[in-house]
Amino acid sequence: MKTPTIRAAVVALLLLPVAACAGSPQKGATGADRDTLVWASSAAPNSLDIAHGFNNASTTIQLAVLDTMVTLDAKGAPAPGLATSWTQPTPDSYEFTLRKAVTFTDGSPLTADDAAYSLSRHLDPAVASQAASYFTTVKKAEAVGTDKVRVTLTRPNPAFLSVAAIAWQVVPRKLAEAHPRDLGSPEVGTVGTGPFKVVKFSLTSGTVLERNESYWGPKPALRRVEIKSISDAETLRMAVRSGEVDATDGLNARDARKWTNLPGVTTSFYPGNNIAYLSLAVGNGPLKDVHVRRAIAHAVDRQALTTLMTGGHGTTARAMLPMPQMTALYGDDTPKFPDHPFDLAAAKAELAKSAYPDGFTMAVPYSSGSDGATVMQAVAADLAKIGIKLTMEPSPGDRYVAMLMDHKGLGVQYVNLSYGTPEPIEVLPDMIGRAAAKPQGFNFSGYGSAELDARLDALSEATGQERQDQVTALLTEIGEQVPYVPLFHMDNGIALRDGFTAPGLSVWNPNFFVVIRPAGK
Amino acid sequence: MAVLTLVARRLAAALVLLGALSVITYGLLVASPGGPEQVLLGTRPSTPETRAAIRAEYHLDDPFPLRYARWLGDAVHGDFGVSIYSREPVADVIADRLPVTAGLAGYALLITFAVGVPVGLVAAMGRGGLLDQGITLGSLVLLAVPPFAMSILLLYGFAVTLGWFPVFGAGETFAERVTHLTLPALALAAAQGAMVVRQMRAAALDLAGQDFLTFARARGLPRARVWIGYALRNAALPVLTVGGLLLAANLTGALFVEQAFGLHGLGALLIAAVSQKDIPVVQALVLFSGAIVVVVNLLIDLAYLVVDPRVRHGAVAL
Repeated sequence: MKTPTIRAAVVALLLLPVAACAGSPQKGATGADRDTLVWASSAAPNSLDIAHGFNNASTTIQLAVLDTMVTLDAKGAPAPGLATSWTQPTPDSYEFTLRKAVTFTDGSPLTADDAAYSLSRHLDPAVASQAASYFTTVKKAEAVGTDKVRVTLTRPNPAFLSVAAIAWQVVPRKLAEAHPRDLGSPEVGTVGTGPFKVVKFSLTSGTVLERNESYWGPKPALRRVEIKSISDAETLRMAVRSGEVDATDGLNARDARKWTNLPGVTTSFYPGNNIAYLSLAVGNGPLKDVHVRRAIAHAVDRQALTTLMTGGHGTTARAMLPMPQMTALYGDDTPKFPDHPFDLAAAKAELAKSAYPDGFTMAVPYSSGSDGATVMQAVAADLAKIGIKLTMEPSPGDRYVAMLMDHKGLGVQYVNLSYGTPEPIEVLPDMIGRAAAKPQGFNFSGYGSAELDARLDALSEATGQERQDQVTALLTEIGEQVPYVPLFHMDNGIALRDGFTAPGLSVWNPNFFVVIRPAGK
Repeated sequence: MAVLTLVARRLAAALVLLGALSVITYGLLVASPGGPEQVLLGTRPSTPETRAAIRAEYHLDDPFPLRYARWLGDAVHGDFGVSIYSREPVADVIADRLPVTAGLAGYALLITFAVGVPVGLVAAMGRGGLLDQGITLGSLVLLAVPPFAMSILLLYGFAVTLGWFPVFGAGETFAERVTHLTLPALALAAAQGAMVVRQMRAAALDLAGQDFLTFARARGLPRARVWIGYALRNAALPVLTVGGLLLAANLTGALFVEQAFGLHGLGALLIAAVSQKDIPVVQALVLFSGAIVVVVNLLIDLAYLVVDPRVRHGAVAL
């Protein structure tokens, strides 16, 4: 009874310095010989299959391990992937020619049947794929001969190639068929033909990838990638600062300043495929009046909001499309859309034309503690200047999202959406289609008509100049009728420790582990 | 025999407690807004078929009693289901994370007692003196610093500035585990150690005027013998109680510290699972936590019997 306590105390006190010595983190040798990258994301990946893990942390790993039939080039145009070429025998079908002599990392050869099944599985309700909404126009995918895959659509869909570049990941049919629900889980894992193979996948201790030495394409410069997840933003920053983590995409534009000052760390930002906007529910009281909506658009200081929310790593939005989609569609020749610049006098003049010349009061639910809270407070302050009083109703994040998705209490809402492809048709039906103006849809303004639906329908089959003109016409109508006030586009960013570079990183080529290389290599 | 009765009674009560816990947790999760399908699909359009498939897979449209009964039926057979988020069996999810949390809790408790008990005794021995006042002040300060603030301080000081310890993660080998868990364990142990110091000091002071101590001193026993053999053993009961509670708290609720040190333990899992509406994981975690509290308390009671013969003789009264 007497001595053990004291002995334990002594042991513990002795232990501390010992632990301290052993604990000196191994600072990685920064230099051209370093080919292992320690990457950290702010969320843990949950699945190596896009059908069940369609989120940033998961797709980052999927991209490195799984090939898609089609890829996107630097401008966002479809380019060969596992398919070396394709033809379009009819407007509503594609025939892909499979790359020859490609093997999965388990040694089995890639067949046309694998490729076809990898697409059609997303249509199977038993899989409950999160990517199913991308492939609603796919009727069937089938192998034709040994090296061809034919995809038949229910209707012509020029955006098919772009969505295929994001979600048509090719996996062995045998594996996918055996695991409709849990392919890509830590227990089952996945097998691909990509530049890396999975050595370890654990939600707790992280993921390890190694270079696929028999990869058919150019070999990545990194030999090994260790992927960790650190949910606390400040801990993540300290881990990069101390050198335990070499690179991360877990920084948001708003906090960029905290990162750009870190010694030995380089940050780079590139336009993200997103748009932040205010949705004005056109069926809700005063918001029915287009003059009220225009007054709101004039009264919101978007420039100030952009600076506040993106810390200089973003741009003010002028139309309701993500920036990279605008660039992919128009190049440098973006047309001028109807705009409502920040102008309180113009706002008051618009309001005077409405049935509410002296303003009105409206309840506004928002998610407390989120970006939305900051934006909505700034918007409320702006609108108060023209007599529109927003009564702020904070609610917890999940409650707010549930309400929003049920389309309950819609009025003035802050929304920030990210997209995957360069296709405006991925965005516009969400904004002004009537099908999306119902619970679980993203048309929170409720703006839409049979005529607009017909135009969206036409757009989904349009190509070339026709497509450009139709998008311009729709964006112009949104600009005039103001069911939405576009606010800003936020850049994506990564932080890299000295010793690594990421040349050519862009929104259409977010394959971090292929892009990142030891400096000088 | 009395001990067996005690254990049996405790276990019966534990079953009732765990049953109530599971109903309440399940009910609260079901009643809270949003559902797993929103978590799984994120801010992305989804087809009605996908949403229907997810709802059907997790029986989200069934009435609450039916869903609960289905869960309970599986649970009593030892099947806690599959995590909605990661599609791993829940038992694996928890087993994966338990070593981290158990290591952290054990390490923190070790530091807490190794430092808290002797320092508390020292303070009591030098009652009112400069050392006692210093210890009291120090423990008050440590008690006042919340664990997450302590975590950030330790991280900046020892991991970033001095570089002695790693910033995040739990390490793979035993040696790595010890170095990785040292700062988090210190962050947890700081306030808890202070608590034990206060407890120990108070318990030892109570004893100071007791006859048996006076008698021991009068017999000319050495000071160390008097304090450790007589005082420490007699002061052990309240300290044991505190220790048990701390252990249970560390095993089930080291959320902030785990978060700050990027540890994938049970606390971090609970936070994530609640926000993901991952009902099977939350249910299993809550039951597991409940069981830990029950078991730890039972162990403390049994430890009383070992430490204190007076309790042993009156065990039935416990």
